[in-house]
Amino acid sequence: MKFTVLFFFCLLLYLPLMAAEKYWLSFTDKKEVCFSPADYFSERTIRQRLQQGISLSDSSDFPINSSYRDAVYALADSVTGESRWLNGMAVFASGQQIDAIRKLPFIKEIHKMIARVELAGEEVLASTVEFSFLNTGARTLLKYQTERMQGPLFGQTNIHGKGIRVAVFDTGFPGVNAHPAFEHLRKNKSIIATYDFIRKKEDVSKGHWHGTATLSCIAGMYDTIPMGMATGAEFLLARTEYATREPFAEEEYWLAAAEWADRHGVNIISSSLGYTNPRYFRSDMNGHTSLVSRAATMAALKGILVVNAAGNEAADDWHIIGAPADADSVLAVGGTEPLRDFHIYFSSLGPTYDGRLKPNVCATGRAVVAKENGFTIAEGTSFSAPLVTGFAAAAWQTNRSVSNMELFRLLESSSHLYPYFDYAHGFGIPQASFFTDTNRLNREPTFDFVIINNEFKVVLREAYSYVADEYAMGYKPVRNLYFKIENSKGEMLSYSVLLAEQKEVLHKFTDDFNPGDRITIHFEGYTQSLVPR
Amino acid sequence: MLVRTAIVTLFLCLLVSVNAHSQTVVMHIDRGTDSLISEVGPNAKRFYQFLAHGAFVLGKDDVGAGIQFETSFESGLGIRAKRKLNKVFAFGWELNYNHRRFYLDQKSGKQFPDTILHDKAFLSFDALRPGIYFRINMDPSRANHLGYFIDLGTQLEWNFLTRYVTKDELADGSFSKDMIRKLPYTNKLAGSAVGRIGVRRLAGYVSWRYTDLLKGQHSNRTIPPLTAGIEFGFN
Repeated sequence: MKFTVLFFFCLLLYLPLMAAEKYWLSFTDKKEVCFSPADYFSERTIRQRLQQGISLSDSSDFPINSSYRDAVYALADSVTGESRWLNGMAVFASGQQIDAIRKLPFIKEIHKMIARVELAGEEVLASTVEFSFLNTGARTLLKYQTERMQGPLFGQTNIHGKGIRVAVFDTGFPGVNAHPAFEHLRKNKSIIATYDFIRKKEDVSKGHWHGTATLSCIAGMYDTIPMGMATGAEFLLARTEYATREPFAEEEYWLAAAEWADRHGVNIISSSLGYTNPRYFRSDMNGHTSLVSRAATMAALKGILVVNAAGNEAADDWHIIGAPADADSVLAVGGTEPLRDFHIYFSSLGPTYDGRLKPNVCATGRAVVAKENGFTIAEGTSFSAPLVTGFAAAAWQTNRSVSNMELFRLLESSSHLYPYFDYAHGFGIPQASFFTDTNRLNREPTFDFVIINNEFKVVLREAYSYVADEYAMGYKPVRNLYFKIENSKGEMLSYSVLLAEQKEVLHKFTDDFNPGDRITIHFEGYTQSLVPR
Repeated sequence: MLVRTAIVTLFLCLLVSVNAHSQTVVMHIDRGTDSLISEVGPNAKRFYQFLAHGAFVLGKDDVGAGIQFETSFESGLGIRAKRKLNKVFAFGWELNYNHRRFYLDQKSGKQFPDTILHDKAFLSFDALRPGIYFRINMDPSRANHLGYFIDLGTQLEWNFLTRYVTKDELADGSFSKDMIRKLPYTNKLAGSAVGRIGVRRLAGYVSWRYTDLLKGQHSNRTIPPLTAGIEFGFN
């Protein structure tokens, strides 16, 4: 009996070693492949690509070679996905099978994929409330989440993201087909297509309401109050995520969903997910290692603005942004403390492992969101990202002639800290006035540097040294002074935010700085630098 | 009175002065510490793992010192440290608490540790087992996972508590339990070789004791040196 138990146990241990592993196969070429853009792409995609000057017959849009596909099917244990953009397939194969596949002449590269399942990060969720009532605090937050980006300026000029098509990739969208927050979307038939890439079905009502919540931050309504700024946009909803675990397949689903979105003429992809430890090392956060980052980069090449949450891991060992927010062309969105405008404790920090600026912009990290059967207050950059997506859709509506990457730069430039940036806030919170106000004025200086002997001070100018109308906005305006210190090589040594509570807002000694160190300060829209020594 | 006024004035001046230079920093990130990468993780430079293990006793028993293999076992808890050398090789140390129990056959001809037959009798060894091991990882591209691995190592065994326990049912239906501690015929120290094959937190292991556990009057006898079982990592 005992030996039988032991035998089966050993077999159990040995089985994973014998079992098929998951691999990503890249092919060398797409020779002898026929492709008709008119048959594959929607009219909208064709129109948009022509507008943006993006090729309709780029080889990355061609299907993979069917003879290659057949040969792989014949040798692999099973095939879980394929990609035109990355010209490859994801397969399960044993050691012998992968050796045989490796010998195929059209195989360019084989990467082993981590097929294991990990628990997903949790969203921190606060209380839930009924449809009919949000208390005063929640209403203040609800208004703040769009007003902080000057959302009403878009609303006043009837800019609601009309004509912009947004794809939302998430864990599922239960309740969207009945929730009052999305009544206007249903009424206007704004949800163009849906697909559950996990279950391979059109119905996306299964899964976790995280997707419902992120959609509400783009286009939801609470009574007459917009929860996001793209209430007039069109939507594609894709379920690519499991809620409680993270198999590698999610990255394949993301890639497949991105190709699907491109085919349907999507302008913006909004995804609130991030892949980090233990699937990757921090050194992998270079924008081109993970499958999902490569997929996001391809989406950007196809003219799509990809907006992704920075992640919620600043307080963990991981600390920095995850994939795909690490990709160069992905607009990584960090989170801020609502009503206080500085980094919320969990929002993942930049830069990328290879030193690129991330996050790019930020928005409130705590928001009122719709859930399956009500509303709730939720925390996470998962909600910062869709708030920026809504903003981006509205901003794009104001000028349809700009490309996705031009819009990317404009969004950065519109942010409240620009040209100041740091690795917690990026360029700050995007501001609608940048897009609606054609007579933008240059900001006058709001502070001065004063150096007397070895004392270094930052002194606010008279007009900015007190708050004139504290509660005009319904909440106390924030008066943060952002400053960073860089060494003579331009490497950021530290960055801080302090409350501007007095005229002499910052007081240091020149000895606090090394020779060549540069301090850059941002206060009330004005940025200035100085080398104190 | 004058002194008191002076002290109060001085205190107020100090208060004003302190307030004038107060700066409420709501966020500060020092890149020098912020950019440090944690070196601890399943496939990072260092890793620590808490474990539980359980195993059967295997092998051949002596005539007169028969072992009930079906019920004999070992179990315990431990901590293991791993130091990564490269993607494939690692080494480390471990420290286990191990409880091992050998149930003895109660048949005629029994000679070990005595000839008295009981309803149940067992020898138990509570030991601390420090050890070192060398690890071969079989999937180098495993990201920050333990992955599949093979360990080869050796452990020192300090049997700090040895007992011989007997249980008998009495004529009135009650039970009697007797225990002898600090068995004079057992070695306090022993050495084992250990091999493991593991998949992430789960591993199967075989341990072979290469030194004798018995001494003195029973030094010519052998207690089965082989155990095989599983261990489970909590992290």
